[in-house]
Amino acid sequence: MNNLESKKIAETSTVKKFTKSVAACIPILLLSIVLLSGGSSLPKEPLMKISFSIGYVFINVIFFLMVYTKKTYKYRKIFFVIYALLFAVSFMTNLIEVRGSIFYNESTFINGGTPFCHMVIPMIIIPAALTKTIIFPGSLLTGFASIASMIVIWLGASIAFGRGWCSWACFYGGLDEGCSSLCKKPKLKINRKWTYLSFAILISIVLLSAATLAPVYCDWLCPFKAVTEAEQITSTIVLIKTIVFYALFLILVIILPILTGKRTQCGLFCPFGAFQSFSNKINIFEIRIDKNKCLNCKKCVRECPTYSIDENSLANGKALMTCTKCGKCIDTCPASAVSYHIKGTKIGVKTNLSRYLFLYPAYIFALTIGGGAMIKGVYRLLKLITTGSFF
Amino acid sequence: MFKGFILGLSSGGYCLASCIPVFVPYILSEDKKTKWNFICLSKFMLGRLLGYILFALLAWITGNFIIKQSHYKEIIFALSYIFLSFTLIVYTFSKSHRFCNIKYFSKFSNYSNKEKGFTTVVLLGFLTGINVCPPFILAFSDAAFFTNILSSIFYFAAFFVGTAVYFIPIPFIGVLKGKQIKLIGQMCSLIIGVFYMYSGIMMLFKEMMLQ
Repeated sequence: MNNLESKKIAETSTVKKFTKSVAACIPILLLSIVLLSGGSSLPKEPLMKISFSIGYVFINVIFFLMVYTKKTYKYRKIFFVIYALLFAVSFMTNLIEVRGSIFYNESTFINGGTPFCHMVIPMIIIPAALTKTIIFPGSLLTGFASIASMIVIWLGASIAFGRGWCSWACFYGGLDEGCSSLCKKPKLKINRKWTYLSFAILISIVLLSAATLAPVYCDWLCPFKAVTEAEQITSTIVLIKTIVFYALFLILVIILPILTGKRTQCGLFCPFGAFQSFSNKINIFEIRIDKNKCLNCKKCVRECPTYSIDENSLANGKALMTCTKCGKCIDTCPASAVSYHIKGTKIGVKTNLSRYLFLYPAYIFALTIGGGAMIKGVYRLLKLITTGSFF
Repeated sequence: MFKGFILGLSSGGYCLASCIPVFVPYILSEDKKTKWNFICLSKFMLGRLLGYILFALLAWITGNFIIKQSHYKEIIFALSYIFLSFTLIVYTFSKSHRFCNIKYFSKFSNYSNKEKGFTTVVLLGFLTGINVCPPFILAFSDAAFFTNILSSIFYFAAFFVGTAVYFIPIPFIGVLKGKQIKLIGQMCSLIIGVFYMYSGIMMLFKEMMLQ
């Protein structure tokens, strides 16, 4: 075979691969129109049209690259970080528009105007069972981010992809993922014992919320208050709380991820993440390691951003229950021994099909939750650039 | 008495919610079998009963005085929170976690160890027993109007029996075992200890500022 023939074969296979990838993207190309527009008609305002187009192209290019290059983590990370940043912009500007301020006070509580976030879910279960009340000052059905809609979304996501929520749908996770990406070589190693801290925080806040009938994590520990909404500082207690929120954000979401290269907030602290780990037990998707292919180089152990593969789990051929299915171990494995796997099927067989079956629901869910917020975020930024104001 | 029992039975869920943040981490960090957890629970409940009886006495002596004088009430609760958190934090860092083990429980020769464990768990029960929960305040208000002290004590004892029913499932948490669970339990004790410490200090601080 001469050079010309081999070049032609390579070109044909590239065209074939490209065509196949485009075909695989068709469901997302169509669905994303519906998900980004929220099911209503396409925007008419010129700036909104531009935002919609930018969002639409970005979302589909990311998915195409995931399919074409077969690299999940690399492109998911870009999507996830941008999603988190745009969510913060969209959320905060929306609060200012709806409530007049990102600060909340007692009247916000009385009016049920506090948006419900998935972090609260573990804390409301025991009080709801014991006292038949939901210990959160939000609206059950009306307004944006109502309690009922968030619970339905969470239930669906838990069934569809378990703790995959934390790497595909959570609107906070991208922040510490972005910071952890800035670390080229880890300067700090954290003892694996600390991975149990998130479970301890989960148990503590669930029990304390039941005892005090208040969402203790939101009241005292949530680092993401720094990028969403905050209580109006009217007393020493609120001042202390605000200092705690900002300090935790600085340490867990910025400093530690940069020093360790890990998602420290998600892997060591987040009680919702710990709670969501249990849904991995009932979910059909998991990360498996083909022991016949594994070189035992332990690259996956070192690279996992949420400490979800250790030497024991490597020996067992699967990730721990805390796995967020981000795909980093799959991308970095030099022997392609790690793959998405459907429980009950043979390991290492039809891995590409398993990957597609995971990618579709995960990406669609991410767009369902974050697509609209991304478009709004782009719109606010364009508005800021063109008019000098977010509104 | 019957009224106390019914009140305990109908509102025991609240009492359970107030006590589990202290007792569940304790059980988890012990990492022992279910039957030993039942022994622990009985000690904890003994402490709780002592707390209740103390309040029954107070209710009878003061005739609702303490409950009406909010600053006394707040100071008692603040101090109980601080002592409770102190006990939890000391417990987290103590190396002796053997007192629920029946081998040690029956070993009278190992008196100091047994004594230490017995005191800790009874103290935890006692301190949670004298903390507020809405039904407890109701029981307190009722007991304040009894004419003799025995009626007040029996009323609280019946209230205690009513609430105790809700605690029966807790020792079954002992089925969760392992070093990891023990570590998580110890971390929980510390986190909850710090939370109560903060709550107690803030309560005390607020009362001092008001006065």
